[in-house]
Amino acid sequence: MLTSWRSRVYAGAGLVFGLLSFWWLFSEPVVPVDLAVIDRGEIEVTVSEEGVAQVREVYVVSAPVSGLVQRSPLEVGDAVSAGQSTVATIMPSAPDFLDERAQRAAVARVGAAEAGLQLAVAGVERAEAELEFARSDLARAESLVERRTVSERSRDEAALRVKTAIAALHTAEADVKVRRQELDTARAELIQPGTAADAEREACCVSVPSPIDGRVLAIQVESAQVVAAGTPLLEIGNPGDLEIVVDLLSTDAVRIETGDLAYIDRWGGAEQLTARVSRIDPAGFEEVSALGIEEQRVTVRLDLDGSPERFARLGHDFRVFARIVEWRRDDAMRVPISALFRHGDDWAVFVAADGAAERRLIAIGQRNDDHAELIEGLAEGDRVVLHPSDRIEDGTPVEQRSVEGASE
Amino acid sequence: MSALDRKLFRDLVRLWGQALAIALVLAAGVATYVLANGAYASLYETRQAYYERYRFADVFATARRAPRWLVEEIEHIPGVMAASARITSLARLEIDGVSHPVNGLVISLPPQGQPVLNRLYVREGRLPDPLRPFEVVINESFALAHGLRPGATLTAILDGRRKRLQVVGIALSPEIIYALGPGDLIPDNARFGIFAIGETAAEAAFDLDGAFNDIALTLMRGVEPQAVIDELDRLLAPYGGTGGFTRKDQQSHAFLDAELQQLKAMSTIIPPIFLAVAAFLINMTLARLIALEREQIGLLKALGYANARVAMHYVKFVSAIAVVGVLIGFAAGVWLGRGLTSLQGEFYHFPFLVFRNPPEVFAAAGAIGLLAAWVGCVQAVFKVLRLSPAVAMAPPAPPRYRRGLTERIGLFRGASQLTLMTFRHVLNTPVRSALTIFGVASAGALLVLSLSSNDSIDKMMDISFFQSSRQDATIIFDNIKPERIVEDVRRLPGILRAEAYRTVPVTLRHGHLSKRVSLQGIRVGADLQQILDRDLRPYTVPEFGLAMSDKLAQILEVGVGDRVRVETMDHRRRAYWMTVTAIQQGYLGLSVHSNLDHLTALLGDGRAVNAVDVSIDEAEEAALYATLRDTPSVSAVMMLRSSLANFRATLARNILISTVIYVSLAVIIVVGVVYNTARVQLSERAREYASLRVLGFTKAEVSSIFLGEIAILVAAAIPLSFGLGYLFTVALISAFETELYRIPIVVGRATYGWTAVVLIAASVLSAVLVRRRIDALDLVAVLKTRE
Repeated sequence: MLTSWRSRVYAGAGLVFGLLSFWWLFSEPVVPVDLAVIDRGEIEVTVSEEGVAQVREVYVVSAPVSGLVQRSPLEVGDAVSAGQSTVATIMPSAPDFLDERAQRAAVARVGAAEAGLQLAVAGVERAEAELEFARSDLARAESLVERRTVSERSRDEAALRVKTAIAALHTAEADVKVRRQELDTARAELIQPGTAADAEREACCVSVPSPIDGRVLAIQVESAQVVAAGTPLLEIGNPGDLEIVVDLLSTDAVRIETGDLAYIDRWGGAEQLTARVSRIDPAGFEEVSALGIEEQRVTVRLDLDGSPERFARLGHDFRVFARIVEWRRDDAMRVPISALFRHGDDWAVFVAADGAAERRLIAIGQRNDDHAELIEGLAEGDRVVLHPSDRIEDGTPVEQRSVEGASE
Repeated sequence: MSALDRKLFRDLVRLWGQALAIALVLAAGVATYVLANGAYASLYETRQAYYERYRFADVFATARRAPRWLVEEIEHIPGVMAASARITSLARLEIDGVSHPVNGLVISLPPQGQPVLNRLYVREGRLPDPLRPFEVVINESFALAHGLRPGATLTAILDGRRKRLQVVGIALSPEIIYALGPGDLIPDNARFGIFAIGETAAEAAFDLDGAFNDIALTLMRGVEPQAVIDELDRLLAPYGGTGGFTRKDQQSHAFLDAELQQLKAMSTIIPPIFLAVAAFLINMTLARLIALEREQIGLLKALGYANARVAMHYVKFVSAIAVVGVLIGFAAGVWLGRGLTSLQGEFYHFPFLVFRNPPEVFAAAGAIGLLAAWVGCVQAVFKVLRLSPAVAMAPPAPPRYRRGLTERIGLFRGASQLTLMTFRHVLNTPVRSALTIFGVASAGALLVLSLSSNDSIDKMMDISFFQSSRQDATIIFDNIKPERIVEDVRRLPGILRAEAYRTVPVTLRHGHLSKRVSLQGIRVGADLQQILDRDLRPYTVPEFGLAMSDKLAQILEVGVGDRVRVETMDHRRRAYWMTVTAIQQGYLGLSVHSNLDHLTALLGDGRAVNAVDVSIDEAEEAALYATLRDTPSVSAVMMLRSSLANFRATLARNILISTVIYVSLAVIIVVGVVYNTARVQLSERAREYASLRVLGFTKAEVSSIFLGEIAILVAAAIPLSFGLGYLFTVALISAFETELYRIPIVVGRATYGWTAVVLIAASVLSAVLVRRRIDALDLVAVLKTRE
């Protein structure tokens, strides 16, 4: 039938074309995937936690005496200098209120004092009368002595009586003064707070000076009010002297040590700040996490690196996000986390080699959110499949998904 | 019995194989039509009956805490027929022997037992006793997934407190036909359950004494729901109302509706294509079959039969074939339709099934089948009747074989005589060849159409789960949390990567158009949640504005640069204007994303988040689940990877079964068509083949001409069937599109491959069967002119 060579060639070509078509139609479809190259680079494993920037030394100024604190002359943020700036003025306490009984007793005491004064005044009058009589008696005695009708002694006795009367008058007069003072005292007890003329006492106020050069961080007592001695009035600190305070989980805190590098992000500024761990508290405390779990936390303090101008806008108790580097290697072999999956107990990746996915078991060391440190199983330059789908198995043909213009 | 009827009977007996093949092609077309329409109508009616009998509500609303006395005021809103207030809340569950996280939705039942609306169908056991606060009724799919029966106990974490519950009944509810967990894209029966407990128990558990947080309403006939919703919102707003919505936005209803819409799309696209192809094929085949009767028609005319009687005779002949086909189709369609309905009903756990086969479907399918047969027959008969009996009785003049297209191309210079003959046969009757090619191709296209739904869904899943939502699980919190919670999550065992995001229920408005959606704020550089542009390229979430999925943009009629009003539906009810800055591709649901920083700045509650996507180290999965179990502020854990596996299994069951049905019917059509084509081809050429034999060609040589012809026709039909199949697929998939699912149009290479295989196999089979007839050709009988 297919006698001529031409027919045979055509038939053969057709057959080959048909077979090729079938081979193509039934060949396993190539799965487009995202690939990443295994490279050497830096891996940093960090302990991340939210923290606050705090002024290292905060001075709390408290009231030295009880009394009425006048309205604060300062606003938060005002600069103060040591010994120069008055940060508070306190007017010592006004009298207490009299209750009903005390008031009546005081009124009665005033009455008694008034009566006592009258008594004393009467005593003066009596003393004066007695002095007058003694004087006239002395004059009479002196004239009688000249006429020698009475003895010298009588005259001396009269003179003595005058002197005695004078002394009695002085006593009585002094008694009046005492009684008058007593009346004043009794009246003073009746004074109610606010009724007295405050103006009289302005001179008596206590001024509190600033202990350091710095800025007002907080004012606890802003409005004029009566405070007891020792009440905190305001906080003063030097905002240029900041540190970062982070409460870490105790299990994380043991992995870091003083001097470790930390990155300070999300503090609002565009620039990433760096800091060093300066102190890890030796004692922890319990706190309930946002997930609602009770955990032990440890306060860790960090010193910011660089000149204070870099973080001049950062203030006291401002929120920051600290990432403390617990492990770091500059030339680690890196495998992307999104390429990893479990094969049995081992970690595995799909390597794209010769257009097909090949499963390789690998060993990894440290890892962070993006990369894991490759210990063994891959070579530099190997290309691994990211986010391998369930369509990919060992030997599945794969190709790089075309992602021109992609932002990743 | 008249002579003609006897001839009719004998003809049918003589041509039984061919007649049966034609009847089966028609039956396949009719069956698809009946089955798809019947399944859709049955499911639609079942849902309708379920809704009516169990009083599915029309309007739904939730609040934080609304006092009970408000119910009476809500009942007095004009247009409201009935109101049913209850307490609903998410809960986590612990089931003995199950390590993975299980989420649940708790619904309170009034003391009298059955609620006024959304009544329960108790499949087994009974409703909880109001005096026993620990009794619970669970939904059937969840009960089946865990093998829970009345009497079983389980632990629920209600509002952060563990509570031991005893299952007393298994029930179904019209409001949770499609049980979708929070944040889930697909239902997962093992990981999400519905729980009905007594009202007193719910009040105590959620600290809602004398209050409710969820209300359902039915409306009077013809009432405009929006007016009622406005009034309802006004009443509920002081109590943390989040805005009322209709059935359209009720999750279960919306998903069920989407599925029904897809079923409807299947019934309006696939069966008409099948039926149309079948009709075209029987029309063509019968026409050619009748054309072969040329001599007999001439003879009948010569004997004095009137044209009408002759025509009637052939109409009876094709009617007999068509009626058999239609009847087989009806029977198969009804049977398969019932099977499909039962399967779907089982999947949705309907309490009962209403089977319905709309009579108009039978009428339409039958009419199309018969008409196609008649038209083909009448055309062919009248073509012969126009000839004078003498001309008709003589064999048709042999076609003029001249140097045609074949030779002019020069392709066959030097080709053998036989090859030349084969190609001439094909090319010199271009219309007939084209029709044959088109017929076989359209049958093949049905295969492509039936097989490709799998390819498209595979693609959709790949894009949705491996290119955009790549997290293994999502942890959802009971409230908004400071962003540093992501650090706490990262420290849980087995977490490889954690990315926090924030969702806010919002209503987007653009002009008069509005849509309730969940606005998601994600961080720039998020790797687990990736936004894809329309060309499926990943890009970062824009710094400002909204990245909206294409379907949502289409619903709101917005494009890049348009401003939409964003109204938050949380307790604060704020409104902002935001610009659409990007359109993204999304196949599942309606999504809208914005930058987390930008969103939280707008909302003004700090860097707050309410969910974290995580990728998990499988080796530590168990430890992670154990820790999450004891974490109070976690309200739900969605296991995306496991859901995906589960979804694939469900899909395999549902879509694959209907695919199998359609594929089988398509195969029947393919085989029927190819066999018939071969048979007709043989009959048409019988005289020529016999002549060649007489001229001295061997049997093998004559067969090779015939087989060569078939091979050429089928070879030409295969690529055409691919093209037609792709077009059919586009039509089908476009009709599949709903708010909840969109499916990319993909036809896999293997689909084409299988189509080709089936076409070739059918041809080989037909050729083998027909070839025997060539070998057994009775030379004398064929060449003799009948008189």
